[in-house]
Amino acid sequence: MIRLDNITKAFDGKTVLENFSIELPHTGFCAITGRSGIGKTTLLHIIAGLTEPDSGAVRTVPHISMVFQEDRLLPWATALQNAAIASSEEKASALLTELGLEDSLHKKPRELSGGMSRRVSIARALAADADAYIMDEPLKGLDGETRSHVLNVIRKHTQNALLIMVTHDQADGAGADVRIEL
Amino acid sequence: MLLPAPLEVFSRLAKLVMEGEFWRHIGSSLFRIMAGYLCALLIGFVLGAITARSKPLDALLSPAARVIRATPVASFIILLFVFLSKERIPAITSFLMVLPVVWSNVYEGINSTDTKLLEMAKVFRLSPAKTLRKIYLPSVFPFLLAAAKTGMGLAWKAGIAAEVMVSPASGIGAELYNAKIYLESADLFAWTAVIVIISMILEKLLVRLVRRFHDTP
Repeated sequence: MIRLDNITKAFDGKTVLENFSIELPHTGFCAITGRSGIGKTTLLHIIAGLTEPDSGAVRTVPHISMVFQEDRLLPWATALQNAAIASSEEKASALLTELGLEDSLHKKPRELSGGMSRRVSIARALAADADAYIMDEPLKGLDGETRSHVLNVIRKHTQNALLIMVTHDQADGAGADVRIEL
Repeated sequence: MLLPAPLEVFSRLAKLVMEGEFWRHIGSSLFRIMAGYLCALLIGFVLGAITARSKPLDALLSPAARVIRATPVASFIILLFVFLSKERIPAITSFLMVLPVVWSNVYEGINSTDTKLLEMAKVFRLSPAKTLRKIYLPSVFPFLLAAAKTGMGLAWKAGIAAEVMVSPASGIGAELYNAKIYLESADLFAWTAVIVIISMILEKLLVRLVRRFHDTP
């Protein structure tokens, strides 16, 4: 279970989260929406343990996997090596194939389009065993058809865990068990 | 007389190559200078890594790097001459010239490692060894390669200068010194050509070696 109690976080005197509390179940789909700069990424980083809140208590799960707002791929590694950084190459290869990247396994990030890089970062996150999958706009830069396919793959592979997804598109959050509007 | 014709230099070089002594001098210089250079690469890498990761050690050790960098090579050679045998001075001089270059480049390489990639490593619970192998080493590699290339030239020049100044039993520098005192200008140019050629060969070999190592998954 993930639980945040009265979280407050400010950057350079500007408060982005104030006395924010939430409790999320072990499994399910949580969609987070809100306008830009409202604190969605900060919230995800606090849950992932990357950012310390100024005040409040955080209780999170031990194993987290993440799709960051940026792809954060190793520029010197291939798509397969990137996707397999926290898992096996077999698992990563299967996921990349499922995401339509079977012909790009051995390409480096500079040889991939924005949408392909995004899918590699999704494959990396899904390949890692985790209790919670945190995804910051994972479908950013993907076209309509690919978008729905990738969303289905994400939902399929996170069925037995908690999926927390930030999205700007209300349709991506359809079917969410928990919706948070910041 | 002071400026020999290119043909004369070439002819002298061709004669030298045929002599066993020529290769003994090259072997002695190579051994000494490479020993100093390789030690500097290794120790510079370790010092760069630990000072980049530890502020107290950085504060403690970095002034030493600045002192070494600021000290003229001739001062080192003269100082070392007081305490050490002639045979060891070229190696230690090369070591001292290369050490701060490797040290500062590795330090800079580690500090310029993308923090977003390090956050990614933290989220995915990569072990320190895996983080080093997958993120730090590839990030530092271009800095290390630049230091290794610059250091190769520095080590070679400083080592030969030390040999000229202390004149060990064998070595290219000792032969340069002999050529100078006997006003053998063809020898002087021939040995200088040897120094330049060996330096270029070593640099090429180094780049190939490092690239092969780096490209190995």
